[in-house]
Amino acid sequence: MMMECKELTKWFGSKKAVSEMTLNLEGGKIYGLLGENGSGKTTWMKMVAGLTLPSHGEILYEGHPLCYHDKSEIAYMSTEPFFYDFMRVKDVGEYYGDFFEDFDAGRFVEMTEAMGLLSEMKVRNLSSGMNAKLKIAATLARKAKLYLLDEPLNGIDYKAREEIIELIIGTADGTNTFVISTHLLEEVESFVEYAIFIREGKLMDKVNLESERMKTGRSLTDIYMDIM
Amino acid sequence: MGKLIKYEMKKQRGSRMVILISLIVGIIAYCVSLITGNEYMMGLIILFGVCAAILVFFYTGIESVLVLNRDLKTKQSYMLWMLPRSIWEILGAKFLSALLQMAIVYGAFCIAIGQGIVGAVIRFEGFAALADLVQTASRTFVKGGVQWTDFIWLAVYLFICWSQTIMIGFLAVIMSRTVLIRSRFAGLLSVILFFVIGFVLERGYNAMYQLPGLSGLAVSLDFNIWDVIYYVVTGVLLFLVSGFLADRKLSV
Repeated sequence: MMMECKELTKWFGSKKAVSEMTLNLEGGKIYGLLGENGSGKTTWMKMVAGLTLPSHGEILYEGHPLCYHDKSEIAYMSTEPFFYDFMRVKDVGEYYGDFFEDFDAGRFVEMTEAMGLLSEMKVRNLSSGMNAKLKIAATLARKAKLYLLDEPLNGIDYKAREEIIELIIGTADGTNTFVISTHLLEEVESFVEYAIFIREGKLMDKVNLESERMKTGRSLTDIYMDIM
Repeated sequence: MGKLIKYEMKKQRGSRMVILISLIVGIIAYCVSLITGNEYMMGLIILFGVCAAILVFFYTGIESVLVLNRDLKTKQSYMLWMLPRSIWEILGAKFLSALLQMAIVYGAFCIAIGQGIVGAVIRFEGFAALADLVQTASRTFVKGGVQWTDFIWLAVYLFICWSQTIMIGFLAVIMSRTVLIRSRFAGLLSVILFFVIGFVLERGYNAMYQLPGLSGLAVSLDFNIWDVIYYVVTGVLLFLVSGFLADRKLSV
């Protein structure tokens, strides 16, 4: 098992954002993390990415407790813009190259150019859509073992969504694992293998979409409506 | 660590450039007034320079704390926490880059002041007077009983006092951003915490000299090793508590 979460719980004051969530992720799969806004998707992702510690429970990455070294194999992309204001597009590539050994600078340039991002553009002047493209390019230019993408399609126009989905599919090579949080079910249905449903911080179900389709013929939206 | 320092320095590049460019403009204006013999302008520039130097001295001293606060307040903190680096490296890099920033800015100010004095002496009294001034200063220095070790002690004192201030700032910011992360009063809380922690440490310092065997070494103008030990130990403790809190509690 690549990642094991055992009774993962996160409190923010008196609010339980994630509640005793036990969830395992296999290597080489693409997971869709689905749930309403405020259901605990982002908090779960931050814990698994090592950005915040659980209040209770344990996270095992490849059999050992998650530690900061593991971040060299985990590529996390937050839903909010997070690059430093002083950066230009090329500086983002340099930053990732400086800190992540698995970063492919050539691929980053290729992706940013394909998405219309010029290397001299200032990050603080980018539109939200352009910023989202930059985040995805920086994240996918890494050859990580685990990609955690928090709402990668948020704020992105339809054409660019297609480009991003293509990039994700192109990066998923069967050896790496993707967890993609989204509420755009139709957009991810074609390539997500497992759907993880979260409601009010609790794991509702984990469904193998292919076998579910074979068994019942239900679409992801149908399953979502039934479970949630 | 070097790469972390590189990006911390980039965060402080804006203020550094403003300070250094202003300094260069000031030096040029001073030189012009020196050459033209405009004493009124010269006096004005010196007065303005002294005021600016005081402001820069304080701002540069605590800039790293302000940068940490900005990092933790915004989602830019992901840029640090997503890295495969320990919290000790991240905080250590912040401390060292603060030191480097101060070395650059204060170094530039020292050069500017030295240039100003040398320029004025040469302009009004000639090279011979400059040589005389250096000789007189050296003699006064030696006769007055001032020793190089005094300067070393002074430097050590300044360094450890400043280090402790920075560590108090780091802890105050991390505590406030941990406890009141969602509150718009987190900035105010960090300021209050800064003074509270400083007050507690001051009380600890006074209490240390009440201990048997140390009471005879009570605070005096003489340099004493117990001061250094106290500041170093509390500085390290503050660093450890900051790192522990950031590692265990910090959430963005």
